[in-house]
Amino acid sequence: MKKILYFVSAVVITLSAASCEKYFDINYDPNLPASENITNDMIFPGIEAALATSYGDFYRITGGYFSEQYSHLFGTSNYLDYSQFEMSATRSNTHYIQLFQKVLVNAKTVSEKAQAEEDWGTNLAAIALRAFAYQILVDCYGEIPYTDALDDTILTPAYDDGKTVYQGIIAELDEALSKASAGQKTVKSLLYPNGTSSDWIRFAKSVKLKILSRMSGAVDVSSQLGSLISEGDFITKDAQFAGCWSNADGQYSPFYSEEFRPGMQYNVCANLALIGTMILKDAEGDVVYTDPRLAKYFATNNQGAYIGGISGTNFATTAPAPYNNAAGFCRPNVTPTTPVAVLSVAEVEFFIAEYYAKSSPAQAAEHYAKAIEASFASNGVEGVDEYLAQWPFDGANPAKSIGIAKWVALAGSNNFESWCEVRRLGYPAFGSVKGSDMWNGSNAVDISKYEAGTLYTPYKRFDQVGDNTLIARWPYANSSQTRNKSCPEFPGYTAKVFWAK
Amino acid sequence: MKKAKLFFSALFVLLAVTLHAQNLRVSGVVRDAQTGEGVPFASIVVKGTMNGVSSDADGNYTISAPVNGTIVFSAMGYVTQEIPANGQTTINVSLVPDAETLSEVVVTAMGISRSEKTLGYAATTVKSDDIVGAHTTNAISSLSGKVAGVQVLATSSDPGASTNIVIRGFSSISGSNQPLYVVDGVPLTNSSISSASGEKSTAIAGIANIPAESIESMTILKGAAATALYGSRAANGVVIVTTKTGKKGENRNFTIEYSGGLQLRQVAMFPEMQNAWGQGWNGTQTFIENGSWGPKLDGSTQVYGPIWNHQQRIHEYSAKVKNIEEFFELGISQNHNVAFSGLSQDGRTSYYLSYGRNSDNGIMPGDHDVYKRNALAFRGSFDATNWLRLSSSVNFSQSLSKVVDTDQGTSVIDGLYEFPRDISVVDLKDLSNPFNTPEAYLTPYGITNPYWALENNYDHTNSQQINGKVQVDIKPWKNLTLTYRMGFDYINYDRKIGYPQITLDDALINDNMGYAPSHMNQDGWVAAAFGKSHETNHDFLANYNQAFFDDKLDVTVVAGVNINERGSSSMSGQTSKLTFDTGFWDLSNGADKTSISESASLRRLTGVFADVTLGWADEVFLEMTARNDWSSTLPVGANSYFYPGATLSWIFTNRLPKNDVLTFGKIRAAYGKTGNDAGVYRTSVTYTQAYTNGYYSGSGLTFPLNGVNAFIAAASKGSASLRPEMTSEFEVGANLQFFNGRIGLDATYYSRRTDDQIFSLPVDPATGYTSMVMNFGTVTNKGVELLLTTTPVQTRDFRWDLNFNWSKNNNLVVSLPEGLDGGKVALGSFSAGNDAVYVYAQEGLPMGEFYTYVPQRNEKGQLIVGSDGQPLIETEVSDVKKNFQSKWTGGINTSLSWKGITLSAVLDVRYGGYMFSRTKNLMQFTGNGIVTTYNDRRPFVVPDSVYADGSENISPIFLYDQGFQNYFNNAGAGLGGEFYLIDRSFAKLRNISLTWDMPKKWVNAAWLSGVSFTAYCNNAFTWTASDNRYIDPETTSYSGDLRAQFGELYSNPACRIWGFGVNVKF
Repeated sequence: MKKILYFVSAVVITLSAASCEKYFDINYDPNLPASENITNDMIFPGIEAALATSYGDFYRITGGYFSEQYSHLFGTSNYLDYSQFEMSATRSNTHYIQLFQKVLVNAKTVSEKAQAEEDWGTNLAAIALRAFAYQILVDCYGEIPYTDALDDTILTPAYDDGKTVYQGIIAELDEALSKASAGQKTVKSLLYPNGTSSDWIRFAKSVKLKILSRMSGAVDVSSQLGSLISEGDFITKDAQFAGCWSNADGQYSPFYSEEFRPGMQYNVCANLALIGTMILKDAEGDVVYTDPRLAKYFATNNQGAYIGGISGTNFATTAPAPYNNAAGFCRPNVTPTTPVAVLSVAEVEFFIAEYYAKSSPAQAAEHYAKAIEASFASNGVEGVDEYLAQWPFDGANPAKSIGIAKWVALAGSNNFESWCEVRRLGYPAFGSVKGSDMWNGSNAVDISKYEAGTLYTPYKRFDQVGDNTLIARWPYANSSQTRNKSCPEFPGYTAKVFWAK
Repeated sequence: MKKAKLFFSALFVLLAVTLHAQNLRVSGVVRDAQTGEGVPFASIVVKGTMNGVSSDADGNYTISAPVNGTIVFSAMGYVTQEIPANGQTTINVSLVPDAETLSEVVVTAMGISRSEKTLGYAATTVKSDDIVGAHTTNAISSLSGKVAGVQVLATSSDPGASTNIVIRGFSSISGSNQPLYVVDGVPLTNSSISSASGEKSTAIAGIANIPAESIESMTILKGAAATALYGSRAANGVVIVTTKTGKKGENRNFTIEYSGGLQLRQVAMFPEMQNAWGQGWNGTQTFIENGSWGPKLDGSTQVYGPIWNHQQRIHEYSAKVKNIEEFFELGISQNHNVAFSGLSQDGRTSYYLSYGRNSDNGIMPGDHDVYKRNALAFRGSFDATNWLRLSSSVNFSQSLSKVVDTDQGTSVIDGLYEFPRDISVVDLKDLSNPFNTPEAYLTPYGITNPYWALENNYDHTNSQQINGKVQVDIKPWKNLTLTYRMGFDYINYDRKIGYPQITLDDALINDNMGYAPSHMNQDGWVAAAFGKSHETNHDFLANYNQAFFDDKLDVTVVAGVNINERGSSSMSGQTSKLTFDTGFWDLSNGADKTSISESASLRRLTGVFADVTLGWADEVFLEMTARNDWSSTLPVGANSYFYPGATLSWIFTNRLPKNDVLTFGKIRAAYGKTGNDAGVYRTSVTYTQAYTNGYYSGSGLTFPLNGVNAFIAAASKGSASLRPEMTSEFEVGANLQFFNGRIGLDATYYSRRTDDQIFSLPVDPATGYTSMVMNFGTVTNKGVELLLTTTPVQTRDFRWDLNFNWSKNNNLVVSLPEGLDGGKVALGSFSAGNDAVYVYAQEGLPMGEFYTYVPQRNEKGQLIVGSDGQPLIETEVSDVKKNFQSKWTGGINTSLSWKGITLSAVLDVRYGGYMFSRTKNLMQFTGNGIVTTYNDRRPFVVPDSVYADGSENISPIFLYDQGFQNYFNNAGAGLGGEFYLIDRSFAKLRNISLTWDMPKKWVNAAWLSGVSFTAYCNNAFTWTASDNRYIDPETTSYSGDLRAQFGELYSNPACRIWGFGVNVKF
């Protein structure tokens, strides 16, 4: 009897212990999939969308203001600080988070999964976007967590200097390129919807060209550049997110969604510097040349004219027409489905031109012309020769001719890259006129003094950036400053990032 | 609903069946031995059974008792008497008043009744009269100013707004600091829902659904020792709600009671505005600006707004001093409650049936801010035999909330606070006039006509809750009671939010004056959500009581098992690009099906517990508790945790010679621990459907994108090694009564420590996550609570009671993980570039330290200005040495009664602490605030300021070039973001009321047993700190108790309520 009792109790205890475990083992969110079940095809479009949103919206807007392609619309003040060359730690925060937490950590997962599956095309795709995102971060902040980053055991990742990061991503690209071979099926993608590894190889090499060129003034990378250019396997079509946008909430092309969607405040308009460079006038004030791309970049104002604002102000109602009305300014030509530019053939050609400028001015001029051709072709306009007549390649000052031409070529699509390249090349340079010479803050506007192909000190400039100076870098993002004791002291708005020194 | 009705009627039938047994009907009168007056509500119980009744207002009772049974008579403030029935049918007793008037019975953990004098911890009970007397729709609000150590946090004066309470300070940095509500032994799910903007919180279930009239008492258990038996959810204290049950009436065995009233709600406080400048910008007239940065008002006739169809509005350019006040109206509310309660003839069956209806209407014009609640309750008990009692309770409530949202943009309040001072708001009522709609409204800058907003913004929530219990008590022998209690709680809600579409083409605009009305265009949207939640709770309890050593040693043992399950699920959909611009709030109205989403959660908790209480000679009491919990929210294999507690009390006056000065004295000490599990689903790494962020909200992408779906890593990473949070608390206290209770003092010192907080720690996103779940950090709360009760005057006809309570809580974040910059984590923020304000929990400081961008100063403390003369702001936030926690809080309650007239008042005081005020921020942004009249808006040089090179600042600030505006908006008038922090101190006359109980003989002549009338005013006056000219400092936005302390964003103004009530008892 006793034995039976023991047996029964033992069975009851075992059963209840086992069912107890099961009874409490319910802590799995039914609404979120677990990491085991996720594939690269599910992740990759998410990475691309995050990159496209940040690059095509926030970085585009800030880049446009900081390179004086954009100015502030009358009547609103959302971005007046950008227009005055100011950036705060909170302003850039969302996109610092987006690049790390949506782009980079997921790209790392894709890369790891692809390596495990020996899917080298997909690995290259992930590394290429990773390199692209890291470059943006270095170009904004100068230094950034890299070696310690994306490791969930290190809560306070150390910052690496920009050069280390650049060299790191070059090495990563080299490694991934060495393993990838052409013509293989790769991950599901928005950038190359039906693409193969060949598309990603060309893209990765073009990204590498951009990174090497950017650091070429600070580090001697001429041999690497030389061999890369001699391989010549760069993009032949502009790399852009196109075809994935539609006219619906949450599906709009990012810049449209931010600045043009109903219910948003409209802030961005053309800068008089860009218009004054694209429409050339003679001493009498008569138009002698109009760049045909301008009509693609911007819509005309309510009078059918091209009017740009002045950096650092949103004018006042007391200003003379058309400066006293939002409709008096030109807004960028953007639709719900406008592609997000990532890297263009024109940029590749400009970099090649710049490379040859040191050794072979003829080849440089040829690639300069190819860059212009590519830019005109991208915009669907003709008239390259007329443009070249006005803005020829200058072998004596290649940086100036390339700088100005590139600033104009990128103004309609890739404003962030414009800000980087203006900082690096030093052109367009500041002219002699200032914003406050053109607008008196009360009732007079005189833009006749503006000199084509130059920048100017904004009407009101951020106090911590001096006259005739571009904002050289951004304060480290607030979410790093306040959560990471390894975040360095901010060296100031005019401390140049490593490649611009 | 149908199901609920069926269930309800079945239950009623079951409980109404009466089984007759061989009992005598005993009746009589319970009198006061000294005065000879009847003792109302005395408890009459057949000894050794659960058979009990209470006396009526005059002391009459009737009870069914066995022929040879013993009847126990007890009442608050009297010595208990036992009288054998001996076959008598009439027993009149005279109870002797107890010098130790603390013989009040309180309901403690697990429904165990204890005499208050024996408790080793602080437990405060608030009785029905005080709960009903506060005249608040939400019964929990009645605790304001009444209980030391309890902070009642009302979120707003809007109808149906949720109310939080926090007991003994904030302990949890990221979790809830809300107490557990237990109604008649069953945990109650308390929930609220956030408004469309997320900045208002409306109650949909829980304590808000229980009409004050149906509550007998609320007992607040504050310390860990008192709450240990309730388990994890009691870590922040417990509010035990005991509802009314069936009682015999006067001269009849039932009572019908009606109480109801009418309330008028009016605005109690507006931000103070200037009346000297009108519409414009930079000192110039602009015709279309919101706000008042224009020229000085001069009484001239001026145009304003755009030119529409060759017409433009004109008005007198002078201050419309009351333009905001005039917008609001008196909100008329009413409430009705009917209760039918009684006992069966033999006293074995009791029933209580009540219906309550509240219909609150706020200060917004018309029927737009409304809270309606219907609550039906049934409670019954049936003594089948001497050893078996069945009881049950079922409560059904239903509520409707219509919310006037308060976000930035086209909300009513933003439309009002940014409204130019020279234009009349009430003239904008006619919405058929295009000038009063976005088509030609006087400003196209984001805000619109508040009347239009009121008519076109929609936010309605309906909810139902059915909850209650079924309980069986068995007494197999006289010292043992076995109880099984099954509690249930089901909630469901549906809500609909509609946001109108604006599609203007400016076709009739002849001159837009700078910025076209079509800039107001917005995609409208409709969002619909349905949700439900459930909680089931099983308690198995054994209660054993035995006396030893000639009744000197009293031993009570309670042991039990608790099995709890909670789950919820919801689904929501949203659509935009509306076909019907407004008014048709259905998902079919959208051209986009932008999102559908669902969520669900399920959690289980099982606990085993025991409690042993030893009482020696009614003088020394020792109670020991222990509990072990298993929770599904902790990692499998590590989900069990144990926590003990003990209390000791000694009635030392038993050892003193009898005297009339110190008539009662008790000292007590307690120590207890309470473990707390995690939220659901925080133990693993997950993926989420991909989405992206633009800059301003709503500009990001959502997946599926053009037919492609994607998943990305969730921003927060769970932890597979989570441990439970542990709160341990020590308290000592004393209860003293002088002059036979004329003066009473209850004093407590406590020290609470919460370790291993479960927190989603914000981390540098460079880690790959924005937050990681982990255990860290320690928070302590140490404080003193004092309650002084006095009766300065007491004569036959007049009585004056005056009670004071005071409490001080020192909160301290003892440790936070290393690595965090400065050891701090953000609790909340208002982020808008340079005037961003943050509030942190920071190591070494109380939770709630404000950080913001402050102006740069040199070593002499002078402001450093830029070349334009404007103060330069630091690039990093700094600690402004201001904290959101109060230094102390207190309350004074008084009541004066003369014959049947009672005048009572509650004063509530909070001293210290700061809050962020967006209303203040808005007042200077728009130039409407009185502060913007600085120096009569004439040019000035920022006082005591220098340029960066140290030379004296000689650059004046001008109005014409936006300098004035920049000085206020960008430089916070020389204080940076600190400018928006206002002192939260207040003294508030919470309630003042006058009640008249009609004389008995009049009442009885009308065949009634009681009639009373009350007139009252709630939130009658608020005295605020001198720097607060903006808002009621109790106002908060944001949901979540700790986060809500940050401050307010665009809140509607606070209200004062005038009320009149009547109570009739049959």
